Amino acid sequence: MVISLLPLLRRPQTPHRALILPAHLTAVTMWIESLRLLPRLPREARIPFANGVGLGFMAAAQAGTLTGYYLATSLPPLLTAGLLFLTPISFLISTTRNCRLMSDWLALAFGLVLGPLLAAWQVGLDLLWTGIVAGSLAYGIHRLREALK
Amino acid sequence: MSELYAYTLLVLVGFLPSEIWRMLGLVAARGIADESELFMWVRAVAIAVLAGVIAKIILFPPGTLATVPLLIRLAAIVGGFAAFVIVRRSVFAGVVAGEVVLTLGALAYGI
Repeated sequence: MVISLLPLLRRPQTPHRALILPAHLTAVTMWIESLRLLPRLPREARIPFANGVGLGFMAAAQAGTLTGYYLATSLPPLLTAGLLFLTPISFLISTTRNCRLMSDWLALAFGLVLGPLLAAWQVGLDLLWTGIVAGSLAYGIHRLREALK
Repeated sequence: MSELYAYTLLVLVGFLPSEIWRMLGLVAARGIADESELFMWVRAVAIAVLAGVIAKIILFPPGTLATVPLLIRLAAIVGGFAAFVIVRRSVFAGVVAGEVVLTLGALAYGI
């Protein structure tokens, strides 16, 4: 995620240290929203924008964690199940919204299938392999189709 | 002493593993231009990892979400997705619809 975000932020004259903060603020929602919104912004505005988005999400997440820590045991199971479901549904839908290229769509589809398969087969480092195999396959098919055009 | 041990453990287990990869990513990103082929491949890998995480949470859910049957979880995903497509690709509509399906399903199941 860091590697696919930083090239969007950087300008030729950007000092290396300016990228350290955004690299640490990189998390799923920040990454998704940055990939979606950064291309519309002028280059010089991108690092402050990414830092702002990242710090905003981070502050909200800390507040949520603190609240959740104190409330977790007293909430009804229906509500906690609903809260836990927020993660997969929001990640899935916001990732889908970001899919533009064929390789994006294929990577999403292959990853959804391969992730649980590798986990069920108890392959070590299952997520790493999911990314490399499903991502490369998606990219390869995309390249092949471009080449055949 | 035990407090020091707890904080050392926090740094070793909670901070360092992610920190190493972040810094490696920072270094690896140096030579990669956006719009380059390598950038496209990295993007596909990152999306696939995230997709793997999502599918794992749905199929092998944590905590109380595991008490909701798989069929209801999948129905909620489909419902959320349908709402997202119907309501002008709104992520908010999709998430709300998914949660409504999950909650109603869980209620009907007796949770």
